Amino acid sequence: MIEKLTLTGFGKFKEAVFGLAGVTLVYGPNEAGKTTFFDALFQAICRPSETKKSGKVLKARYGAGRGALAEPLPVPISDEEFLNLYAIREGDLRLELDKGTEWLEKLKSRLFHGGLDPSAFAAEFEKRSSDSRTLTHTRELEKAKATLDQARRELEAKKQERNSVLAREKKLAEAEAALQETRKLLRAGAEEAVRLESEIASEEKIALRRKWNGYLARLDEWQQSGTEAETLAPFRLDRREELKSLRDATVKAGAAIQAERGKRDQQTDLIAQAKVETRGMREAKEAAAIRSAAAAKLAASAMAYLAGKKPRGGLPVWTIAAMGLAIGLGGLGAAWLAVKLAVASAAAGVLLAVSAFILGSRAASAQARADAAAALARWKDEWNLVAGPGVAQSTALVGGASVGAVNLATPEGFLQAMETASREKENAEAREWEAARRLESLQDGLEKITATLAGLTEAEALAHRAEKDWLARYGVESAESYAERVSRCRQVDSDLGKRRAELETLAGGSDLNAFRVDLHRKLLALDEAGVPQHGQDEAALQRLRNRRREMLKEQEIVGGTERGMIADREGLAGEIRGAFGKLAGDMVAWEKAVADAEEEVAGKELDKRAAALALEIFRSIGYGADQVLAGLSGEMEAMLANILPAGRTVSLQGLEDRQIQVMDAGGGMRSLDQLSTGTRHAMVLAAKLAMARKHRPGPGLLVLDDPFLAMDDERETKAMEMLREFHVRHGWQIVLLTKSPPLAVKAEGIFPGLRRIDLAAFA
Amino acid sequence: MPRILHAADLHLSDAEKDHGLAVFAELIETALRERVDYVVFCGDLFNTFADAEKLRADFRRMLGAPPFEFLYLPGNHEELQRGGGDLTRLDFGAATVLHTRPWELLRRDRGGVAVEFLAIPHQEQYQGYADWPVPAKAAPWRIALAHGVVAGMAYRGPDDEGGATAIDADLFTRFRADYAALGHIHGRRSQRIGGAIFSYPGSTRVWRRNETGPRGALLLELPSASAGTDTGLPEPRFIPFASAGEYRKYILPLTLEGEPADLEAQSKAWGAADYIEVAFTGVVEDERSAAASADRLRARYAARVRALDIDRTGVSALPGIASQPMVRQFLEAWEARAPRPGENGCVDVSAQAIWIRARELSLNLFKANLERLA
Repeated sequence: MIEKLTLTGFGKFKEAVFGLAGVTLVYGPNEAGKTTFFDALFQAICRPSETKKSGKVLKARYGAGRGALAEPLPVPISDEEFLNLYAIREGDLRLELDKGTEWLEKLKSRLFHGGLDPSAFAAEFEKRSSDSRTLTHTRELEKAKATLDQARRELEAKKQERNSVLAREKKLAEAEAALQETRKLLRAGAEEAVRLESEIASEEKIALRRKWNGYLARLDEWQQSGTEAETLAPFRLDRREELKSLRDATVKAGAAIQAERGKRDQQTDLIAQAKVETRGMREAKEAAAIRSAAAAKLAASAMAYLAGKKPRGGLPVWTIAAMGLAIGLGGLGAAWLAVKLAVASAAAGVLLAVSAFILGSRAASAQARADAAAALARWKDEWNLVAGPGVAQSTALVGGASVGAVNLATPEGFLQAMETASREKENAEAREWEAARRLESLQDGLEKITATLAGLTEAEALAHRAEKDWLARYGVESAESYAERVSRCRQVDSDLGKRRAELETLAGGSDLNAFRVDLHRKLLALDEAGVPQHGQDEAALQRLRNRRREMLKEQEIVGGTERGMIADREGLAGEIRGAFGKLAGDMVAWEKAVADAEEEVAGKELDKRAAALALEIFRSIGYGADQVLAGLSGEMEAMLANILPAGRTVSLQGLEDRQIQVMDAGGGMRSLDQLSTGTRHAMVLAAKLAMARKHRPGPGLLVLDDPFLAMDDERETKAMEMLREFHVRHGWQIVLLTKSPPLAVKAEGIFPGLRRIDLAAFA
Repeated sequence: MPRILHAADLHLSDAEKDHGLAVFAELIETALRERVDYVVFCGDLFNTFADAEKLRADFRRMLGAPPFEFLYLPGNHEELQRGGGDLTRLDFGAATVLHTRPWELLRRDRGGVAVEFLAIPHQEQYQGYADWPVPAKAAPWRIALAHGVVAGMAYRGPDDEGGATAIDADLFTRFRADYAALGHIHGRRSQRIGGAIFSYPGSTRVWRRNETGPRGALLLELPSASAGTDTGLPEPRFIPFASAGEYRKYILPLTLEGEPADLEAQSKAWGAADYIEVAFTGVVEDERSAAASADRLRARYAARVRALDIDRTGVSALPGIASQPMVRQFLEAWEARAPRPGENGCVDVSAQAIWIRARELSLNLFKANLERLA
């Protein structure tokens, strides 16, 4: 309790000491210094800093030299706490709880569980366990997780890098192997190049030998050509026309001989034919002589037969004619055809005649016919023996008479036929003679031709000899040979010049004999060097050279590849060497970073889970706060009941203005700002007292400057009585300031032991 | 069938001489009991060069003339406090010290099967290893020894195992190692990379905080040559060392009055070589109560274990907090939410962590609020 307040240089009070009691009434009319006294108490209790608003106001109002000392020295409290909770200025009854001031927080804490609010704890742990991304711990957890992820990624990247290094190293080993292969290729190539070089050198020497031998051969050929040219000198003048005329003469003679020989051959053929014909005629004549004799005999027989008989009108004319025809035919056949055919023809004629006779005599009497037939048969048989069967018939035909004309069936007819046949010999002889004449003529012609041919043959032999002699003069066999020599001579003459010119070019202008000697010398040197006599041909040598060229190109390429590979290998090896070891260190560092980050994340997650558990615990405790609020509202109700008539229910949902509800006169619940002024003032006073008591564990000080202005007399009295109760029950010191004389008087009646200070006495 | 015992990171030190040598003795005993042909020790046998100088006589004496070959590859710790000293000049008795850098190749044929040892002592950097002219593998098995961090083996424990250079796993596969016997990382782990087994046996003893789990060595049995080349290597078998102790950490929430939870049940599992760390958490009425609780714990348990660290950095004090009804109300509600053991009788570790952390966060918020009110 403040017992003494000493003011120095504080507004009106230059030097003033006020003694204070449990309840002190400070009375002063307007301008007496009531506000200064209030401010002095405020200064003494709160000692506000001059950097704060209230301190600045006091300094401006009362100067820097002001002094206000309360004794005993009270525990300082904040401006807001004093003004809001322990003081009422000039009837200004407001709660202003929702300003969120520190004193209110303290009040809230003290109201519950000895000053601790479980709902505040619950709220704190709700935050700490919340997943809301706006909260610091969530952001920190996310940051820790991000750090962990980053560390894991870095670690993974290092692992990848390390694996890549190992892979590259493997590649390096492969590159090394490839390099060795390449080098092997290079070595093989070099060896082959050497071999090719040697082979080519050897082949080139062989080629030289071949070339020089070729030159020598050409020299020989040239010399041989010279010799040949000499031998061909007679042919240098072309006399083929001369030879041709000789030739023509021979050919012409030959052609004449040929023509004559043709004639001779034709003549010979004709003679041969004539000889055959003559021989045939002779044979026909001999056969005809036989038949003519037989026919004469048979004619005689027939004539004799006919003479022994009555002639019956004699031998018909056609029979005779037939016989004659038969003979004629026989003779003709004998002359032109073969002898046998002639005979047959004659016989046929005879037969025809006989037949004609037989046919002619068919009309005779049967006896006569029988006799005649017997005679005829006999004659015919005889005739047939001579002329052969059917000759009679043939004779008839040869005779040129028809069967009907020569009736061989009759003796007359037969007679006629036989007479005709007996004349055949003569005919045959005539024809033989003609043939002999013709043969002779032909043989004469042949002799003439033979004589001509002999003449021609001699002429031809002369011409031929002349030609031969001409050719022999030039030593050739034929005109063709001569022509060849002439042509050869020309060619040799032509070649000789060319060859010489070429050889002189090869010899480089030196003498060709010297050239030859030189070639021999060189060849000898090759022999001495052991160069083989024979090698590959020029094409093969060229192939070797091509191969060598390709080989050199390949070697160049492979060599380039080798250089590239060496450079690559060196580069790769450098990278790898740098990376090994270092990467292991990096990996371990990142493993450590991962472990640290995991630990941090685990710690934060543990805190979050622990906060959730704590939240659960504080929520379970938090239900007790409702009871405390209910207690406080009851206290307010009790205090309010001291002022207002009838019981007014007070409901506290919390300690914010809007959370305080009071029953109005009508029985409805209204929030503080909706109450009548008098009721609100009463409620605020009651609430302040209730909260002030709750706020301080022990007795405190209330400074009330005309707190009852809006109350009627009855309420004012009741309010003062309530203050008295408060003072008595809880021991709080009360300083009541007023400008109202009746209130001062009333207070003196209500508060026993009240000390009254009249400010007018100190001014 | 050669048998190899693979260990690393014993960190023998003069400061913890007895403990360190006890573990070394168990290493030797194990090698004898298991009838191994080789012991490969992959670095940090001594904690510093100075320790190597001081303890080498004990080392020589204890190693004696064993029936196995002890291959000792120095690590980064043997470089510490070296001054002008030279490890190669120190006598390590029967041990074969593999200090030739950057590598050396040994061929042995104990157990009737030829084995090549490719020793890669700790070095500043391994760059250029691809060009090392390591001869082609000419034995059925090749064991590589190295001390460092192999990239890709899930490095854990920031800064604790610094000081060694990272090694690419390729170094081992490139030179056809069948087994990479590694040292430096104190957590045991084994991994197959590119057909080879890469193993860290972990520290041979608990050397410092957070080295949880049993400590010991790995036993590798190489199949005989005929079978071996086809079947590949079997996984090494871990042999825990009783003398190595275990690191056990307990987070104990303190009551508002500074009383820790009871450790009696847990302490029954503790061994004399164990390294116990107790971390207090919470907000207490009076900081002195937490200190007093720590003293009580020490008095009760310190003598039973190799080391007992009590960490009070997680505790803060706020006078008046004990009288705050809401704090009490919170703690009651929090206790009621303690994770229950599951069907297997075990408590979900993550649920436990969340539960403990919820208390820590809430008490800190209480403290902040109350400080603001005051």
